[in-house]
Amino acid sequence: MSNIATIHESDVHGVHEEHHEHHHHETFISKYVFSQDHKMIARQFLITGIIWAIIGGLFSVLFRLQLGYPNSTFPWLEDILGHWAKGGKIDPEFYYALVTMHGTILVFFVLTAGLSGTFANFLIPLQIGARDMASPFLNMLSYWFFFLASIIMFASLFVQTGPASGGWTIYPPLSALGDASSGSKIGMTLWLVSMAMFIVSSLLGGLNYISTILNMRTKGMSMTRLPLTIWALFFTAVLGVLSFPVLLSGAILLLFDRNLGTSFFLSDIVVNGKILPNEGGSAILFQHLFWFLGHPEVYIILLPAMGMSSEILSVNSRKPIFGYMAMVGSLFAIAILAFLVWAHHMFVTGLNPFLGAFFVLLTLLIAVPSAIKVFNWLTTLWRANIRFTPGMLFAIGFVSLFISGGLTGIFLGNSALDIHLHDTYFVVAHFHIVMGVASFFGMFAGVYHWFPKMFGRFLNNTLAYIHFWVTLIGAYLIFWPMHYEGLAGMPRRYYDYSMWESFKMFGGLNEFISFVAMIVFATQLLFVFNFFYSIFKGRKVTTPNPWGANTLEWTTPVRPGHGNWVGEIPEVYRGAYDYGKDGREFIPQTEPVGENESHH
Amino acid sequence: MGISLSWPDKALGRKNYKLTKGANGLGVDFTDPASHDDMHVPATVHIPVGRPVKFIINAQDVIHDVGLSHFRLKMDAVPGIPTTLWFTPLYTTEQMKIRSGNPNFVYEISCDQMCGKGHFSMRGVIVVESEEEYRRYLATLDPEYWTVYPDKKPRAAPATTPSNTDSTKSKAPLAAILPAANN
Repeated sequence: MSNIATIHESDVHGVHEEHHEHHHHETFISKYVFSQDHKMIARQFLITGIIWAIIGGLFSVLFRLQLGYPNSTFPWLEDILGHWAKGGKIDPEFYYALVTMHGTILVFFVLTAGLSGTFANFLIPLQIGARDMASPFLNMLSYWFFFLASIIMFASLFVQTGPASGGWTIYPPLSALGDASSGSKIGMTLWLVSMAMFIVSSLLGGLNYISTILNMRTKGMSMTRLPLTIWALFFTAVLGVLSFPVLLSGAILLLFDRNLGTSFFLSDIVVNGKILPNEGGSAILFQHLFWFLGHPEVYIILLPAMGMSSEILSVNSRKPIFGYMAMVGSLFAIAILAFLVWAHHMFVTGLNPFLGAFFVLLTLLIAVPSAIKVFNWLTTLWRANIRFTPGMLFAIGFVSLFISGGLTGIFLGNSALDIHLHDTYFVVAHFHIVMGVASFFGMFAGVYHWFPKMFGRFLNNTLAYIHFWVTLIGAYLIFWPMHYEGLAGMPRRYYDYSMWESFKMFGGLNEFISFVAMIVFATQLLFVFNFFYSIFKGRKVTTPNPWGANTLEWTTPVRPGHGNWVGEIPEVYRGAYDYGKDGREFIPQTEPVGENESHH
Repeated sequence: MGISLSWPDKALGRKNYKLTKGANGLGVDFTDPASHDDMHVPATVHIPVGRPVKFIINAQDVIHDVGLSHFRLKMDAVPGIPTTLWFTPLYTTEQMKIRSGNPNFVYEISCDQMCGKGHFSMRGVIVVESEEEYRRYLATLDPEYWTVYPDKKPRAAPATTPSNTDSTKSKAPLAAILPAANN
C-alpha cells in the first residue's frame, strides 16, 4: 500500500521537477563540468575512474605479454611505443614503469577515487536523506583536485625518461636517486606531485563524507538505522582522513631528499661509483610512513565493496542482513586493526623478530571480524529466495573472492612463513584476489545495482551475465596458479624468468595466465561498452523502486534533480533491512512502524 | 654483487662506504687488522654442508634482497643498515641434483626487492659442498688485502692457510654479502 503511495508521490514530483529545473537555468558548465551536485560529481568520479581502469588494465596486458611470451617479439609494439619497445620487445625499464603505473593507477585512481569517490558521493546524501553534501563546494574541489592529479600522472607517462618505475610503493633510495633508475628522474617528481594533489582530493572528500553522515541525516535516521553502505563509507572516510596525511608527509620528505639535499631516507650510499654525502637517514623509515597509509589503504579500497555487497545481498535475498550490529561492529574492528598491522609488510627488512610477533598477532586478529562478516553474508544468503540480478551475482562473487583471498592472508600474516613468501607471486595472488578483484566486484555490483538511479536506465543483462562469468572464472584462472609459483619462491616484479634455473619451469604457466588475462581484459571492454551504450540507449526505468529496496534513494524521482527530493525530505521510522517481515516482501524505511508489527 | 668471506679469524673487517673507490669495491677499511684475512669473491658463495653459516648483508645503492628460495629464506639488503641471516644447509648441490632429479640444479640467490631495471637479472649462486671440497676451494683464494696492497703479500706461503686449525670447526663460517649496482 505504501509502495503504491510512493510511486504516486514521485509521479507528482516528476512534474515538479521540470518546474524546478526550469527556474535554475543551469548552463552546460555548471551542470556537467563545475557541478556542485553530489550525483554529478559521483558520475564524474565514476567515468574518470573507468578511463583510468582501462589505462591501468591495458598496462597489465602489455606486461603480461612480456611475461607470457618472453622470447617472442611483437613488431607492432615498436610502432606504438617507439624506443620503449625496440625490435618489438618491451624494454626492462619500460616494463617496470608499466608495473609501477598499473599499481598506482589501480590502487589510487580507480579503487580509491573511482570507488569511494563515486559511491560515497552518490549514496551518502541519497541514503541518509540529505539534499547534498555538507559542503558541495569542497566536494567539487575534491573532484577537481583528483582531476589535476590525474592530468599530472597522465603527463608523467609521456616524459622522455619515462614515468616512475620503482614499484607503486616507491621505496627510497631507488625512488630518491635519479642516478639509480631513469624512472626516478622527472617521472618520480611528477608521481609525488600528483599524489600530493590526490591526497588533498581524498581529504576534502573524506571530511565531507564524515560531516555529512554525522550532521545531515534526515529525521528518524539514527546511526543504527543507517544502511551498511553508509557505515562502510563512513569508516572508509575516517581511515582516509587519518592515514593519507602520513603518506603526504612521507612524499614531502622524499621530495626534500630528492631536490633539497636532505637525508631523511638516505644514508651510506654509493651509486654508479659516486659516493653520496647523505648520512644518518633511514630507508626503512619511509616504509613505516608508507605502510602506515598503505595498510589502511587496503581497507579504504575494501570497505566500500563490503558495504555495498552487504546491501545488495540483503536486497536481492529478500531477507534482512544477518546480524546488523555485528556487521557494524566488525567494520569498526577492521577500521581499528587497519592502523595496527602495517609492519607485516616489512617482516624481512631486518625488523626485530620480537616486534614482528606483535604484528603477527594483530594481523591474524583481523581474521575475526572478517570471519564474522563472511558468516553473516552466508547466513543472509542461507535459504533465501535469491534474485540473481547482475548486481547480486557480483556481490556473491565478492564474497567468494574475499574468502579465497582472505585465507591466504593468514599465511602471509605469519612472519615465519612470510620470510619465504614475501615479495613472491604468492603475495601478488593474495592481494589481487582479496583487494583488487574483490573490490572490483564490489564496484561492479554497485554499478549494476545503482545504475538505474544514476542514469534512469538499466544496463543490458545479457552482456552483464557474460561479464560476470568470464570475469569470475578468469580471475581465478589468472590468480590461483600464482600461489603455486609463489610457494616455489618465484619473485614478483621480474621482467624475464627464462634465465633462472629455479623459476623457468613456470614459463608455460605464465603463458597461460597471460592468455586468460587478455580475455578478461577484453571482457571488461564489453562492460565499458555496455555502460556507455546503456546511458543513452538502455531500457528505461519506469518505477522509482525497481529492486523493491527499503533505502531512501528509491523514494526519489526516477531521475532525482538537484536537491534530490522535490518536496519535504522523507522521515525515517525503521532500519534499512525489513525484508520478508510479517509476510511482506519489503517495508521501506519511510513507513511508520505499525501497531501490530512484530519485532525481529 | 660482492661477497667477502671471513676466514680464519672469524671476524670481518670494518667497512666504510666512503672508501668505496677503485680496487676497493666493497669499501673495506684496511686499517682494521680483522680485514687482512678476508677474501672477496664475486656472485658465487661456497659454503660447507651441515655447518651454520651467517650472512651479514648490506647494500651500496638501493634496497636489494638476498632471496634463497630453496632455503625458504630471504632478507633485505638496506644501505646503511646491515641485516643478518643464518641457516644450516643440509644437502650439497650435488646431492640436490639427485634429490630434485634435475641435473642442472643450482641454489640460486635472487634479488627479491625491486631495485631497478636490472632487478630480474640480479642473480647469485650458492655452492654447497662437503667440508673437504670447501677447504680446497678456500685454499685457492687470496685475501683481498693482498690484492689491494700487493706489497703486503708475504713472499713465503702465509702462516694462516685456510686449511689448518681444528678450532674453527665449531663456529660458523661468516660471509658478508653486498649486493649493489643494479644496472
